[in-house]
Amino acid sequence: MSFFDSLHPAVSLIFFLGVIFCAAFFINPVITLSALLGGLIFLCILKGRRAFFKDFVFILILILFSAALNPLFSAEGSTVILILFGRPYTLESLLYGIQAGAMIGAVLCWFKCLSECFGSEKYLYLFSKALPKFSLILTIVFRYIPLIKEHIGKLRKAQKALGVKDNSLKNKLTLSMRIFGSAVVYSLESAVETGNSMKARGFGAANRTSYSLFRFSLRDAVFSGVFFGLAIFSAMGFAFKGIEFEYYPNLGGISADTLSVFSYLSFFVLCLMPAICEIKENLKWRYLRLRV
Amino acid sequence: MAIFEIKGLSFKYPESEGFALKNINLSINEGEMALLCGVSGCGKTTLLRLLKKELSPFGETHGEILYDGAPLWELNEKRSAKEIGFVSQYSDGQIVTDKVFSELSFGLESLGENPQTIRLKVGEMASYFGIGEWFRKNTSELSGGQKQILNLASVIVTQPRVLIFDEPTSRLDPNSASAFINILEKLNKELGTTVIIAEHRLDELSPMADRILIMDNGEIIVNTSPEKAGEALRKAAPAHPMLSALPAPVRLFELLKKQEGTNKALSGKTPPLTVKAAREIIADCFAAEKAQRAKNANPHKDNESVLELKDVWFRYERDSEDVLRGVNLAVKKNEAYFLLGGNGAGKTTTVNVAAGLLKPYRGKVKVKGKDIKGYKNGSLYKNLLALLPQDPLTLFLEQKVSDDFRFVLKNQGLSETDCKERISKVSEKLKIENLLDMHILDISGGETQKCAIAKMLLLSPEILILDEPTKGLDAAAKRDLGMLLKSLKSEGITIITVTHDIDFAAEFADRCALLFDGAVAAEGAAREFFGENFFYTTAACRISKGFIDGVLTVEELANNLRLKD
Repeated sequence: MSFFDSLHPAVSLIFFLGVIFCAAFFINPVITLSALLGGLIFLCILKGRRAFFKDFVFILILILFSAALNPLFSAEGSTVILILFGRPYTLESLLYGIQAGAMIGAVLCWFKCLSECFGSEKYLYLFSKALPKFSLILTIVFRYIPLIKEHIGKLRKAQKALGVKDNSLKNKLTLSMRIFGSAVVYSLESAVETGNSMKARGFGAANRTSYSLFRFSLRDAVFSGVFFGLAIFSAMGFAFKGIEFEYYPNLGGISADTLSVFSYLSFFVLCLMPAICEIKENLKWRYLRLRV
Repeated sequence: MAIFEIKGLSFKYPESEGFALKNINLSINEGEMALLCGVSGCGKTTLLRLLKKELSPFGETHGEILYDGAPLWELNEKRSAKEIGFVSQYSDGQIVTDKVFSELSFGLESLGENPQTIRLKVGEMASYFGIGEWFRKNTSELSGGQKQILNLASVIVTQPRVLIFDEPTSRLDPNSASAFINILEKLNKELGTTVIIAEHRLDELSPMADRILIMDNGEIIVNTSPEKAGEALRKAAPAHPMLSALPAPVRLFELLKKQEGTNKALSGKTPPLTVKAAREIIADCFAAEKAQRAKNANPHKDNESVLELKDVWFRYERDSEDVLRGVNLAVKKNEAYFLLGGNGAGKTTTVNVAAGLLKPYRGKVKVKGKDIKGYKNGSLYKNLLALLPQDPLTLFLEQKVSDDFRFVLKNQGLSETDCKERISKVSEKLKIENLLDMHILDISGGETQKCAIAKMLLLSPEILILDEPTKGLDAAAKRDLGMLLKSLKSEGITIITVTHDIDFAAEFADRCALLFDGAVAAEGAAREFFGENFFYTTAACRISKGFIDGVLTVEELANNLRLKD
């Protein structure tokens, strides 16, 4: 279990949404690169090197693709590198392509991290405070999807062993339709049983309370303190110095005064926070194991 | 003190003609364990459901049910949910939520307990039941046995006074069933929870029950202690089908008492409920006759092999563990070959490989001497091989049985008249003509199994593979199924059966194989196979060990015992 997995859901969700928001809406190479780098390292820690490599290659291809393609569709920008198909291929457009690819890559990366350490039970917990009925429905749905899936698998296998033909598209479609129909009947049948089970265990007999595994601990407090501190510093810089980076027609500069540098640095550290926490945790483990 | 007092209870379902329950008078004491049994359709489920207000079937009710001295229907919802727990045989349907811990807390949340209390009680329950290890898992990842234990735990969590079970272990394998029954005993003995349970598995339950209730056609015909149940049933109904479902020691005792001369010798003895007690009685009254019974050789030994697995290795995913580690077996033509083994030994996987549904990564599967890969486009399933899956309901896609039959045949390219002819021929043979127009979900377990086998027979297979066909069947339905398999065999069909049911295998198998750790560990003609096993064998064999060797059924044992002079 990773460090982030054990954080309070509210803390980790705010963190993720904050980073994803910045990565998705601020067109600024420093911010995009910080988010991309932090996301890649975090993803690598969460998924392990082998599984990460696939994602990394995909993101790399995405960036290259967007870099190569953007100039073909956008002829804005003043520095022409070459003329392709009678259209100018500009440096600004190329860089903007890289920027756009990296942005999508960063957002993708962080969403992958989110899904790695944010299971359904965490969403349910967050929802259950505001919408208790809705969260109950959601948990029942989460229970039903694998149940029906498994049942459909069984139906398919049984039909195959009966030698039911599925060689042509038409046969395949009819078979799928029939299997689907049968699965619907099955789900209705088991819904009756589930309803009975709910009623038998007092559903509707009193006002429902909700129980969860999560508790707001000191660690959550420390993490959110650091996170909010860094976020405020970065926001200050963004607010006073502006965040937009000009690509067209000429590349703009990045302001390098103390406040800006400070706020960029804050954002960079913020993006690395998960990676730092995970690595710290891993080192601690290694140290503890050495002592044993 | 009586916790349930049932007075003159009769019940009729709205559209049926007769009463499902007829004038039932019964009182169940607090802390008692009452075992309710009877053949399928005798009204067990109806009675149990009437005891749980939320699950009571709709219909015409006469008489009254008192809970804790007051009419049950006046019991308030909260108390009813808290104090009366109910667990049915459908382990999947009863689970409401996606996570184990939220399932455990569901009842307490519904009753509006505060989160701190819930935390405490859920923790307590999880440790009592040993759920700790899978506490955070998804409910869909659990095994059947774990699901049923979870269902029990999530009912117990509100600390009910009465637990009602409707065949809770009938869909579990023997190991999980034993684990479940042990928990029940613990609850009853340690916490004093009243238990009312309907079950087919009487061998294990009757030694721990305080009382046995036998139902027949909506009436309670026997209401006595487990020791006296055999005699009481024989007196109430001399040829009742439940007599053959009683625990093996009880049946043995009853058979011995019927014999001339033995009756007197046994008159002072308490009827045995366990193998141990039965052995004591035999040692006391009967001469040790260590006669070796004649071995009967497998008559199909020299037939050609119709299905062969040669050094078959299989795993579900590249990185997962091997499930089959070099399975070798050869099934002879016209043989009844039974595959036994514990949970996770790979039985189902083996037959799925044999039926071409899974592909081994090493080794060969040959059907009638030809490599299974050579059968293309479903030709393997055309007039050659059929597999009955564990859940026979998955075979049926149409609602009406006859529609479903017709579809399979049409899919094979048969004309309407041929379809009709074949359906009527098969349904006549299996005596299911009356079921053809019924809705598949309205048919009982034993009859569903029959319809499923009928569906296989429509494709006139030479090899029939059955995966756990006795699951959820009562003794009478099992016997019916066994007889059907015998008659199919006499028509030349080769039958391969995967089962946990030792008694069923001992009675109907020609040859048995024990699968262990992904390979065939032992194989032999049924009589030798079970006769030589110490633990993995029938109750009659365990009772007779050391007295007579090679006895598999209670009847054989009773016929071969000689009184001491």
